[in-house]
Amino acid sequence: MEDTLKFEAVTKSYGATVALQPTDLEVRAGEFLTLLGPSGSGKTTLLMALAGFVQPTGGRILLDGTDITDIPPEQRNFGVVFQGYALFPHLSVWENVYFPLRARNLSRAKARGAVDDALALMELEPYAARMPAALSGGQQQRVALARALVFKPELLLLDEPLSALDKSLRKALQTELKALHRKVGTTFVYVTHDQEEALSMSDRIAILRAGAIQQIASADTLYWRPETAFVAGFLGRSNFLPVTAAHIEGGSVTAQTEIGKMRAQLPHADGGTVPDDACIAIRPERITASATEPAAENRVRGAIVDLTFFGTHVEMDVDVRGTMMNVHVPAVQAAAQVGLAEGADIWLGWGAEVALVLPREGVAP
Amino acid sequence: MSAAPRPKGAGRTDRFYLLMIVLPCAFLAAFYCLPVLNVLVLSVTEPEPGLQNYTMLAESGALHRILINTLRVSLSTTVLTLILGYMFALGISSMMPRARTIALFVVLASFWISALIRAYAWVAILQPNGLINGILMGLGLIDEPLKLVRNELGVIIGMVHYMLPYAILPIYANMSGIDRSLMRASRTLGANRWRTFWWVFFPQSLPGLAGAGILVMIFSLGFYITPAVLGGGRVVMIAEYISIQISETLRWGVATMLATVLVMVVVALTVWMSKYLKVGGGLASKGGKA
Repeated sequence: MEDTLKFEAVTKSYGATVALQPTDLEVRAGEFLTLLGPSGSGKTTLLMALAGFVQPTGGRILLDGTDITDIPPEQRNFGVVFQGYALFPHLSVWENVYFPLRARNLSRAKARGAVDDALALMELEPYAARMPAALSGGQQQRVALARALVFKPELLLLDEPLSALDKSLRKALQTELKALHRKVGTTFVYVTHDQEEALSMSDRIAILRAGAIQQIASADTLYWRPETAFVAGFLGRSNFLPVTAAHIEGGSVTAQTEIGKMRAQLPHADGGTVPDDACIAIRPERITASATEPAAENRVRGAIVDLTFFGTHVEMDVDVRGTMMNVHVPAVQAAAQVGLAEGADIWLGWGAEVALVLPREGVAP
Repeated sequence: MSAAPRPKGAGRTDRFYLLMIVLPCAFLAAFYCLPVLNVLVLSVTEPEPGLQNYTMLAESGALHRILINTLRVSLSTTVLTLILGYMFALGISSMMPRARTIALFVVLASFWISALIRAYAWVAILQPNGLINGILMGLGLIDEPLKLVRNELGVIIGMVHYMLPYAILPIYANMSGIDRSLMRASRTLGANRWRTFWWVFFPQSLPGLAGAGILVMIFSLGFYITPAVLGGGRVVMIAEYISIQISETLRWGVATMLATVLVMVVVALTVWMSKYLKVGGGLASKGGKA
């Protein structure tokens, strides 16, 4: 279980189209790593390069220091769970799980113990004799997992395995997958476009956009310390204020925006420079709303255009001199606060520490 | 589906569709079933009432030769057609859509040329001073022409050529329904390309292969023009023999008996095909999605 997997400048292009820009990535032994990104972001290309179906046009993939770039899929010893599961319809559940052991020239008698253990792990013993078509979606997924784990792979790759299921089942299986990861200890590389799935299961998340990894970090780091506007907008919501001019002063930045001079921070405390095309990102729940002028470092006044009640919080769209800002106020606080109504004028305030100056490239709409 | 509430006026719609079925059925009854029944009746009444025509089937050495010829040629044709058809279908199913359209067009184009023209074209190509022997002798590879026609080889070449589209289409239809992600799954599970083909792809292509096999066999048993032309009278199959009995020796009893036997065999094969291989019947019950 000491295996680490490394991508060194792995690239894939189809003619003039670049599917994957030179990418470095390290998968740590035993972790649950999620590749998250919109469709066309290169996450599936990355996974297929890992599985051996996509031959990189440049770079190397190393497993424990050994170059596996040119090794065919069947010799990589990686378990893969495909979107739609790809169970063999002409084989029973037992035969499906036996398949990888048969490919390793193990007789039925010799494989029996391992197959039965894998079926037991996924609680599939009662269904061993069934054909895949006679199983529910959740059961099919468990068969796919048993089949991908029975040969003790170095790595388990999962390509949007929950996307074919309905929402309530998806939720239950997220919990199940996380528990399974803890139980078997195998490294999981999981591909999804669903941020909720990524947040709820992963040790680390790699966010991809346009064939490049934008940032890899734990869920809370990505949420609170995004390094690009794309990450800030893709994971949760953010308000973006385009920066027209800025200068750095100690640890903080003073930036000129369309709605005035703002105090903000660079994502890394140890400094850096303000990117050419930058914006300030502020999470809606970090903005406070008040009837009187607040003491916060940044404060603006605007009119409430839209107000929606969501149970736990109230969501407001506030028009600040032509710039629309999204603000979340906890419902308890909103109930106590007078003057929260559509059309009313209101003060918004936030500290410099929650306003990050980020490169604007690829900002989510 | 049958439990769904029936909309008002469904009775009338049903009667309309029933009528649509009844008319062609009536046509078939008058112009197909009646003549076939007549053949059945003739086989037990010509030249006199009784089963003497059928006892010939067990006793006549000449008939045995014809039946064995027919069976051997049909089986050879079926096996060769299936092998070639499977290869072709495998090829087009892995083609790019554009190339596939062209390839399928080429397959379908051969449907438009009559069996007679094709048979004579093969004679021209295969005969002793024909295209193939001409080229081989011109190259000095052979000294005297190969016997490619007016024998069983010629008949089988012509029949395989005629039957290929009938094999390619069902095999290809079945193959295109096989989920390609299964091959990828198989590779990741440790099976190389060769094993993936034999363990995953081939078993799933068997229904198409079986359907095509029975179809080709049924057609081959009743072949007339191709063996008559390419066999040059030396490879007589059951259909040609029937034709001779009808129009030359005028033994209608024997002819209709053989026709009846042929129909029975074909019906039995068809029933077997739809029942156990779920070809046709399976198509209907799945609403055409095989």
